[in-house]
Amino acid sequence: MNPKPNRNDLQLTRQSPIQRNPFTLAWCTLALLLFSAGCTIMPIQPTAPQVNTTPATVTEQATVTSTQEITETVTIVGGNEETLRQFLRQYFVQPFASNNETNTTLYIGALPDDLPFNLELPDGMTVAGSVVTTGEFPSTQLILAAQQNAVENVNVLREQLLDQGYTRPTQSGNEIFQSQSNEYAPLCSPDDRFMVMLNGVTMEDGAGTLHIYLNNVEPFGSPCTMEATQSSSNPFEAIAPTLTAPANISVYSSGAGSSGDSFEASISFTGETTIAALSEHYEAQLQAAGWQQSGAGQTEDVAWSGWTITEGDQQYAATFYIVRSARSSDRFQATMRLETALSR
Amino acid sequence: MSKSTANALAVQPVTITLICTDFPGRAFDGCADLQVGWGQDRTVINAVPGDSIEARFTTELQAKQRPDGTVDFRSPLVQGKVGARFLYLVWFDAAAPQMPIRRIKVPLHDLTWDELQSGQIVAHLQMRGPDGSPLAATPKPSHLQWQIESRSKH
Repeated sequence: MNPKPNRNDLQLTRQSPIQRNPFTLAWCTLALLLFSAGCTIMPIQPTAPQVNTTPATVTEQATVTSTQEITETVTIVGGNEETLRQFLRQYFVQPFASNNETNTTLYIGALPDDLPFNLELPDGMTVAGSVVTTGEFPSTQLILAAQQNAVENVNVLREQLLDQGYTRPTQSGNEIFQSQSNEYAPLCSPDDRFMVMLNGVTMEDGAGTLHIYLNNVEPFGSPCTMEATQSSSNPFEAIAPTLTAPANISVYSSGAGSSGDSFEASISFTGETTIAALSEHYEAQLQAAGWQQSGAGQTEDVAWSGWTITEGDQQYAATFYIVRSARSSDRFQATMRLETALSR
Repeated sequence: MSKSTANALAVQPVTITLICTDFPGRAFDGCADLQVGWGQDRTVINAVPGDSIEARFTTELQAKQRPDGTVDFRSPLVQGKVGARFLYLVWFDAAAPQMPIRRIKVPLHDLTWDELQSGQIVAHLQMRGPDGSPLAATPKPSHLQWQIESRSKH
């Protein structure tokens, strides 16, 4: 990214530690630790004389509970234009040495003008700011604010990138259960030079915050350039269809394993959905793959179904079940078990 | 642990896949149906049979760079304190799933911020310990090998 300087630009130049005022360094280090740990930032007592103390009044607060049930609250206490800029300038100077020259540019309320894609912000979305880092490990972070549900806005922006030729990287092997988790899935630029990740969460007040990370692929290696993980030699995977996930769920783990005569695969995910909706979504795909349902049933917390599959002379039996966690109403596990059937 | 130059606010989604081989079998110490899966809270999820030929466990994490250059991890599966995060694979008997038999501790603290930028990490894990029984505790490098292009960590 090539920042365009203007009179409001802040120059973020790293000074050696001995050039820094030790009180400022101590204050910033403490602030960094507290902020990064997701803790409330409290005003610092005047041990650092050049920092203006401000009334300990909560001026703004944002609380997020993610789909993984992690609550994070950010509280901003005090400050004004001058101290805010001072804080930003110090915050983005890393307190440890880098190997190469690094430049960081903050765009307050704006995007860099040389992004490798075009974004048309949906109604109600605004740009909070951008952080552009150049050097050995260049990266760009775009921070957007939305008045509505963050997940829906992530989907809108993902569609825009897909329309511009961005693609998902090739998935690794052993993917009976496909994940459509918008929260995690990266996108690769058409020339594979950039990897873009979109993250969105809805805060307790209903507003959304979206973060778009743009990494240069070259120094890191990336799913955009790496070959897919070697495929499993498991013969059952040729029988089991690839199952796409419902929209608006977030997959956080999976497991799959095969012994000689059976195969089991499962995913765990969160989402605001129902057992009935999940069951309908997955069973339709099994039927479309030619599986014959031999039985089924469901309650509000579990759905199960039995299936038979014929491949040439070989018969297989499968069970498919979805269970809602007893610990959390929006947490689910879907499991497929497949085994060779005995001749009758 | 190496430290990077990425910006201090950065959060990186990371997929970790454990490709597991060399399973001990289903019978162990009076247990007839040994299984293994991710440990989550006090339950086990995504379990596979203990006689699997190969199993793959995958989890989605969020990695967050800390001010000192180290990395913290978050997900429903992440265990341990900041700076010593890890994942559990838990062995259990299908007949008594609430009673863990052994646990494998997969440490995350050795992964650096730069290594995580690919968004996809693969590790190979041998599931039998030196005595042939189900692997337990923190695996030695001979049993846990991170497949990371930017370093030769085998």
